[in-house]
Amino acid sequence: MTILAARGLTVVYGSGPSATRALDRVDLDVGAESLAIMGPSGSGKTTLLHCLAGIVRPDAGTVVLTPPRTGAGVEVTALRDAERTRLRRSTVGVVFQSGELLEELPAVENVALPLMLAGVPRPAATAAAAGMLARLGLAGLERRRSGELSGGQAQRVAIARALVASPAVVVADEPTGALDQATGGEVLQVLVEATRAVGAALVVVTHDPVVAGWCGRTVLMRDGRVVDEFLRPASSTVGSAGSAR
Amino acid sequence: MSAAVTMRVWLSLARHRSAPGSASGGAPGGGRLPSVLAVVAFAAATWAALTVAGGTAAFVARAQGVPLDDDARAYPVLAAVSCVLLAVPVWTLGAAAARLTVARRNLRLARLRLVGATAGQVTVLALLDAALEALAGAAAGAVGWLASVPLLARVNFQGRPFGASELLLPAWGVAATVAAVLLIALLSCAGSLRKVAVTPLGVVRRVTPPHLRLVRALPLVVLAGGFALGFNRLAGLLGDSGHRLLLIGVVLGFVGGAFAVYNLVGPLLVGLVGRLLVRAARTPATLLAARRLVDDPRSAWRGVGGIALVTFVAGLLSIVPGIESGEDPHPDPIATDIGTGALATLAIAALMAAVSTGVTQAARVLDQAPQYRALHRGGVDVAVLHAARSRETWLPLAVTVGGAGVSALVLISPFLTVLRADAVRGVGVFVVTAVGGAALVLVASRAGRPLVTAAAGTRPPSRS
Repeated sequence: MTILAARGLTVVYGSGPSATRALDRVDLDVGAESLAIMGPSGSGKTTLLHCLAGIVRPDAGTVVLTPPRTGAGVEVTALRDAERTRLRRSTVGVVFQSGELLEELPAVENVALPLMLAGVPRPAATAAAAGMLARLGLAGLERRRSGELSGGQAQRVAIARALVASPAVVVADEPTGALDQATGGEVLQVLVEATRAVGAALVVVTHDPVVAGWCGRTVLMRDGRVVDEFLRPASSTVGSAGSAR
Repeated sequence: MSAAVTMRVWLSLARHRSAPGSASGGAPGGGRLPSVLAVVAFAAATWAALTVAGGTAAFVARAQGVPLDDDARAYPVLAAVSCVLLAVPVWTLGAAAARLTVARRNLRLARLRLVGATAGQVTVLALLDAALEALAGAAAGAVGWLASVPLLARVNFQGRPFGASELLLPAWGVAATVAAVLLIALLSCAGSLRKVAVTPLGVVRRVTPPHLRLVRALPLVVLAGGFALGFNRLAGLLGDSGHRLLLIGVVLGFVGGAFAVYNLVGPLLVGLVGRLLVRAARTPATLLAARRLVDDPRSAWRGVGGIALVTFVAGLLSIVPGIESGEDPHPDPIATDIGTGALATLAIAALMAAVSTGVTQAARVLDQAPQYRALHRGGVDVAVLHAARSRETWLPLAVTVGGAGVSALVLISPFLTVLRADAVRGVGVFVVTAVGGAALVLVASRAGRPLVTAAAGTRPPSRS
């Protein structure tokens, strides 16, 4: 089943002679899988991720999001900013390169925040957040703040925050860019396995082939276009990701 | 790099920064607004300092002309009271402007470290930035002060208006005031940089702010105890004109002490309120606001401290109309002038508080811009961000204004027992000032909304 369907995505920065085409009529389908978007700097991979997640509205083209839970497609690109924000809150989990945890909140409250925003009472949201942290191997660290966590731990908290509301899609922008290779590998394993466990699609932007090796499919971008695509054998992808490295 | 090289680097950066189309230090959503705000804040602080200093100098000059007049000699003392009252808001405003200067420089400072600048050099560069903005603001403030002198000269004191020549400070006085504003900027900037580590990979807080200790409340207990012990003697002195100067001196001491104590206790109160709210919070906006108060109560206090002090001043001065009307059918001219001076002081202090709040809030938004952006991308409505910031302002405002009001009422309570009941007018002034001051703070706080919206902006920072 296709969860994300992008057609003709075009994003242009600037105007006139200095205008830059960041995305040039990109078509892409994403199912319940793990997808890596690779490419050199300036190739448009982050812009594509932002369009897929509804963070940026493209100048042309459409993105349709069909959560498996409802089966009803939503044209993300037709929504206003406030509607896209609500959609991200309920359906899309976002993981940033440096986690971007709120440093004044302890880990458990960082994770509980999306649920509270969705109207879940604080006690229930806190309990669900603690459960998610425990699933990601962070039991006992609930009250720690981001400054008291290692880089890998902080990124796991960010993953827990992205997954706690059971999203249909998880988007991650260079999720291991700020980590050493060993820690990055652990974080990726957690990200891929936990995303698969909740039945969500995972879209990872990276320039690192090792990171892409954890995903079932890779698309390569250059100058705002998808120029190539690689599929990995099932035995070397999600679930047995270690062997893909 | 030598000092000369550092200076050349700074000049080069300043030249490029002032070029059309350049951003402001890479601050997300900042643009040129933070620079404008900082300059406006320094200008307001300079204007207030020059206005108060000019008025004080005028009273001193008048007193020297009539050396035997006891009342005339009291005016410089009263002007000094006004200086003490306004010193903290002016300092707070200057310091807030300096912090704003540093807040948006973080990214640029980190990049300079990345290309080889030492920690000492980036500190010098930041100090030079602050000094430049302070100098620009001070110059604008001095011009504004010069322009406002004819208006200020219309105010009547001692039965006649000031001459413009009386209010104008000599050149050395203006230079000294500008130098004081520069000093405030540099000290505050250095203090802000001391709390962070500028590394090549970014700017990080050196430590999590430590919890405030209850020992901060000790001076409050000492002050209250001292005041209670002197209660009877102070009340007795009120009706004795021979002791008026002594009384003013005692009151001046208490006012200065209360100011200092309030600044110690304020952050403690804000932190306590934050802790209580963390437990009670049911919505994300309240939880965020409460956690931020707990995380950095000093910063929250700085945002509302100005208005708290205005409220405190208004509370103290609320008895002036009572003194003025007294039991004498012919009001004492000096009492009338105290009322006029009180209103002038309040007007200046309220203006300082509003500008200070606006600037402090702008600095905080710029500091928290990455978190705002991450929250919005994660699905948090901008309205929730606004609500959290609003509560972050409202909650300490309610506590501090309430605390200031109670403190002031305690301090003036001895006088209330010997004044007539028509001090109602004074209480009215107090209430109006408190409400007006709070309204000004909220207006200043709301003015930061475009910055929040820009910080949460939906356009990605890069094209990769």
